[in-house]
Amino acid sequence: MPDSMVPQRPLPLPDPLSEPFWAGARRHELHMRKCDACGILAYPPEIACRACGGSEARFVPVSGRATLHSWTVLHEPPSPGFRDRLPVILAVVELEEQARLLMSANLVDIAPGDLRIGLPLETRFEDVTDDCTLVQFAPAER
Amino acid sequence: MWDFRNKVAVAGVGYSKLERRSDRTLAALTLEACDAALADAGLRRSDLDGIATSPAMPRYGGRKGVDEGIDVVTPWYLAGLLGRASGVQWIGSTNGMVTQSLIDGALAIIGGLCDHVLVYRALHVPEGRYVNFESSHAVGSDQYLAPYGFSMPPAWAAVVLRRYFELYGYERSDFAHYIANNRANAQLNPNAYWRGKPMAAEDYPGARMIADPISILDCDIPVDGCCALILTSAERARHLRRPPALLTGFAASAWQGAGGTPMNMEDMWDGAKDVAPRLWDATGMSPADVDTAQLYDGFSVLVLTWLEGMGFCRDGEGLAFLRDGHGDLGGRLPINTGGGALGEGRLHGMTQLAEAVAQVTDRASERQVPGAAHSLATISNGLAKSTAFLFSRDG
Ligand SMILES: [Zn+2]
Repeated sequence: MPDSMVPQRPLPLPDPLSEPFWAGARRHELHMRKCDACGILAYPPEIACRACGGSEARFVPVSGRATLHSWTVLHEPPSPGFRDRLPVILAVVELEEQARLLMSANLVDIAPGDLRIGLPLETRFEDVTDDCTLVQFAPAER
Repeated sequence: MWDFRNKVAVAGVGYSKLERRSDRTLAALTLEACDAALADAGLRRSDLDGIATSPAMPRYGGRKGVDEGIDVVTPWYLAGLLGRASGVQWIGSTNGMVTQSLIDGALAIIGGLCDHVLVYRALHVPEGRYVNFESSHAVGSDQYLAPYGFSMPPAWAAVVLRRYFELYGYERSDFAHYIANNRANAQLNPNAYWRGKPMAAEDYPGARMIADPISILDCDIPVDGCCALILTSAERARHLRRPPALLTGFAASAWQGAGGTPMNMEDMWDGAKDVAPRLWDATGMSPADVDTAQLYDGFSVLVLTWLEGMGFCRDGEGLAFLRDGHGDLGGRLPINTGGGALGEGRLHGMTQLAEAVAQVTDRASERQVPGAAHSLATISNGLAKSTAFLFSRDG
């Protein structure tokens, strides 16, 4: 099958709110939107702060250090582009900067049997195309 | 307490046949359920002067069906089908969930806008896989989920159940008794899709995994079909064909929770724990007054978060409660006595409402909880748009 026929995973289509986040990912940096008024970090980025309603916010870099909050393992492709990537480990991670600051991503470089809540993680940036980098996580290399 | 407690009642319940894929249109199935509900109440189409639903077709990825009468049945379209286009005084079309239509309908009756409100949920199963993200790009909130394969609700529920298992030391086999017993309840429910197809607890551990640890037996099955309820004032209901199921009170959640994942266990608890005291305040009741609970089970794990969030069990103890049989018919708190959505089919909470009504009107035949005076119904996952209702026996 020619490359162009291999189904791709759905790629994020940035919008004005999300563009700085994805631009950061392309530079292999993790950025979160931070409320100017109360300092709460939000992911995904929000037009207004869920904690205080403030509408002034800016993207700030965060460490990318996180712990494993929960996960599921998929043995069937959730969409055609995952056919060659099974099993898919889908993780919810909690960033160290803030309680319940959660992100969904895939875990790489770890076997399903080694997963446990609280596992220290760090970002792995996956360059999918010239325009798109996904934020993934892997076990922290201390 | 709510000033209007026990002033509005459900006077009739009607179902269409629930099938995996019906060869009849959704319009035809909806009319079947609505006419059945009217007949159950002893009313005619000409008595209807209010109609409410949440007509959206849920689908994750792919095309969202919008064809009237095929994919959705909106209340204004249904008014015409029922010959009531000019007789209807009030129409409610609620974004969110159909159970909020029940709240709207009750308030429309209390407000004197109309006398007999039809609340219905019509659901169609689209062609192809129900959840399969086929688009090449993910926009809006999907852009943070679908690129990782996190585009399907079973996976959202799976991370909740996984966390629950890990934190409290359970494994899948602990759920087997509840799942099999729930299917046994469905055998006693004439409307249930799974009636006639019992399962054993031993069938559960090896069931096909959708998103580990959520298996096919932890997900409600999408069906073509409709369930309809007739709401009216308690006074009028007392002169109709069936005993009224009194709406004692309700509460709704506005808890959005953390972003980053559509379902997070702690937020689902927080949402339910926000709803619970408001429901008990509105009704003047407490968990101890509930004789049977209909807890939403679009995914099995939601039964746990509701059981704990509403105050029947402490956090992490719900699964032991179910494992030990306390949720069975004859147990301390019979749960999902008609088999819930897992047994009946996907009707987005109508199952829980209809079963609560059946229990407090002595209409649950073989699955009747003797003398059930109060039945709780909770719908959705505790997060925003979720609702909780308490129905009571008359007299
Ligand atoms: Zn703020």
